Amino acid sequence: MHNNAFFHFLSLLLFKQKNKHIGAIFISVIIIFLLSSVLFISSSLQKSLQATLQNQPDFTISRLQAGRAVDTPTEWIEKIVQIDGVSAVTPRVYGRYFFAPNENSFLIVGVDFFDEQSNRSLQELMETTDLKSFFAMPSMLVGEGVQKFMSAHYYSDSFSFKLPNGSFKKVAIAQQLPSSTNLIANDMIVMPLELAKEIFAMEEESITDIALNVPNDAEWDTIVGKLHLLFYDAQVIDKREISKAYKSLYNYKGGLFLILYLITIITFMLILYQRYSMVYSAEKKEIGILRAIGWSIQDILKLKFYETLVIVISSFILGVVLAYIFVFIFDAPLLQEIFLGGENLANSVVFVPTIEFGILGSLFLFFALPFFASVLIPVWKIAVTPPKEAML
Amino acid sequence: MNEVLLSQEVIVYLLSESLLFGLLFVAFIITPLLIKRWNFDAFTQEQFRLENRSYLVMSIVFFVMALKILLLPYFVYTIDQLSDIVPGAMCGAGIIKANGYGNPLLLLKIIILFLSGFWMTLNRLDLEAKAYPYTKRKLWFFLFIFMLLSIEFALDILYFTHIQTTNPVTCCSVIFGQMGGSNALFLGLDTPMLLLLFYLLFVLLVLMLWSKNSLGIIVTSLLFLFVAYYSVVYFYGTYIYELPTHKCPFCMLQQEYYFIGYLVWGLLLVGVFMSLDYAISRWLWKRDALRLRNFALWALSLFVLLCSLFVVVYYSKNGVLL
Amino acid sequence: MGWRVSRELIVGFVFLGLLVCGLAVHYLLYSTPKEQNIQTLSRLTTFSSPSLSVAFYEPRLPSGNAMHPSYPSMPSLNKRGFIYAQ
Repeated sequence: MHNNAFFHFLSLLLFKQKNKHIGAIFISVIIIFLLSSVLFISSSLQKSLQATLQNQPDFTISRLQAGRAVDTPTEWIEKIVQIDGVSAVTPRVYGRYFFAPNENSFLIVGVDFFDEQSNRSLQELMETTDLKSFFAMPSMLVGEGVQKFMSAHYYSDSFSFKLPNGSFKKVAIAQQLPSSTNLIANDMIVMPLELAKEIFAMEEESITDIALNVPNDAEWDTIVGKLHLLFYDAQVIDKREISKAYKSLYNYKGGLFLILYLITIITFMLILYQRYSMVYSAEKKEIGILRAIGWSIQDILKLKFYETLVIVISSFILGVVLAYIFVFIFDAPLLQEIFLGGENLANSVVFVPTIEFGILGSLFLFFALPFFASVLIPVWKIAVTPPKEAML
Repeated sequence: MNEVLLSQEVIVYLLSESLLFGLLFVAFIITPLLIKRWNFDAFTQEQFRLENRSYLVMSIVFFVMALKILLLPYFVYTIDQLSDIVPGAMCGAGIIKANGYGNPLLLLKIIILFLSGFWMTLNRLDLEAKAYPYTKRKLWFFLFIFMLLSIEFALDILYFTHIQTTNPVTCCSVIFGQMGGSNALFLGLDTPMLLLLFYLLFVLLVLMLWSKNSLGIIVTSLLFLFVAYYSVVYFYGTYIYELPTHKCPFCMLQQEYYFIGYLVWGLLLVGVFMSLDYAISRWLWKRDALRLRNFALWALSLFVLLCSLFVVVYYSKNGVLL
Repeated sequence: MGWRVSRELIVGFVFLGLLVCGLAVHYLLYSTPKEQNIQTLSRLTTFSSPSLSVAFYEPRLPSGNAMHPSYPSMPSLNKRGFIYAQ
């Protein structure tokens, strides 16, 4: 069979009978759109979190008492610095501030702004280059969720924190953190370290935990052992554990969704099977003519195979592109609610475009394989139509 | 709840395998009747129906085989992804060793791919000839492959349901690295000997392909596959990772190395498969498929060139060998 | 002799190709700048706990509102702990 004429015929046929395929394409696009939106969201969130993890210290160490994390004494820092292979040992102060008992809470993070690097980062985040006013009085940077919550409670340019001893501490809201940081910063308040300590009423000689880096990752396990030998009441959190937690977090999400989606895919297969059995049985006469003019069964199979291939590929591309636009340009309205918990402060995040070939491959397999599998038998049934059908 | 079974890739993979197996089962059910009653010379209604049915078997097997080719790299990718969940694993090597089913499964997959490739060649020859001369042989062959495929499917399920996320597995440097100075290579070979063998076998294989010696091609290509595997793991791999102690066939499949492993292993498998296919169709079916041979030559040469290139590039960049 | 394919098919494929190209361009242009702020912030705070009403890094939030008063141990659906949890 001449290839050229074959493809010409195929393309003519496809558009001549487009009404037969439109239904299947429509369902396919919807199915792919939904599935890939969900997978895009989860992979984007996962990638953003993993990327922030890059900037994280390798280990954090805090003190445990009766199984609960308590304030860590600052004298630990000097002891940790003496371990060989450890660098960038920094104290951290953070904690939850509850607006009212058992209600909404903010995550207050204390930052040492006199450190050169954090000063540079601060400048990048601030809209104004003038940092003087920021340091002139107690001020803070707040996440979008915090900002909204505060202005709803009539704290538009400053907020009075209630200290444990009953007094109030007024802190100016310097600026809202960019909304593109909402994924981690929605309920976050960034303020100078000393101020954070004052609000939590922490003792002078204590901090929340200690962060440290171990540049040579071959030494990681040894360092963990040394830390545990140094402090018997220490809890060491490894960056790898957090990375794994994030990973399995979104695997669950996508996995559960996929398992539920199996039902949809199987229904889809049944619909396709029915639909194509019907469509093709209406084509009997046509195929009979083709067979009568000398097409072999093989040729008909080939024709139908390419026809299906065109449908599968075009609906796959359409679905994926639509999902991309929906997720990464419009930030997935409605669907993002599934992925964000809003009990504390309502959140809405910006999705960083992520395309992973693995996910596209999984999607394609998950869609194309059932599609082909369900039209295979109808295609065969029609392909073996005897030429005499043309005469009927 | 088993965490492994919740991984997206595992779900997609198992769904695909189950669907394909379901289709194959349909083909399997109608095959015995076909074998029993097939008689091309008969002009009966039944023979006509059988011919139609043989097309169903053919389409199913063709479709399944084509997808199995896609599913092998996907399987490797799945395993690679699992290394994020299973403690201790850095790449697929640890995961495949997570239980006793992994290694046989991977081996079986490659064998099945090779066999189904031969089946496809046979099928093409059968269709080209007017009288379907190979149909019966083809069907018997399918029954044999189906048996292997059933084992593979069972292994698939056993393998994925038996990966523990609580027990740490060993990392690739433990599996492939030299432990306590003992030599990991076969026959006590050292690296220069291994490389010599690698290039010699390649030259021999090219010569065999040129001289069209079927039996020679089969023997040398199998030997080459074996030696090339060891050379890549123990020598060329270290240049891909640019680390003399990193010996692993799986890490190169990861993004850090630009997925180069898929190309390396893909070229090797395709090249060896094509040479085998060429030799077999020449030997058994008396066909001289020159295009197949040229493909084989290209793929194998590219493979050797690619491997050598890593060494050359490393040497030109750093001025020393590992 | 060139390939003869009907015009509609070519138009269709060109359209799909354009879509894919547009997607690629958007991806290349926007994937890094969107990420920058979040990176800077996490560098500043050395903190990466996602604010999804579930605490990973910090000790867990005390669960406030139970969904059902007579069944207080059932977690609220609006907190993603039931899926996000380990």
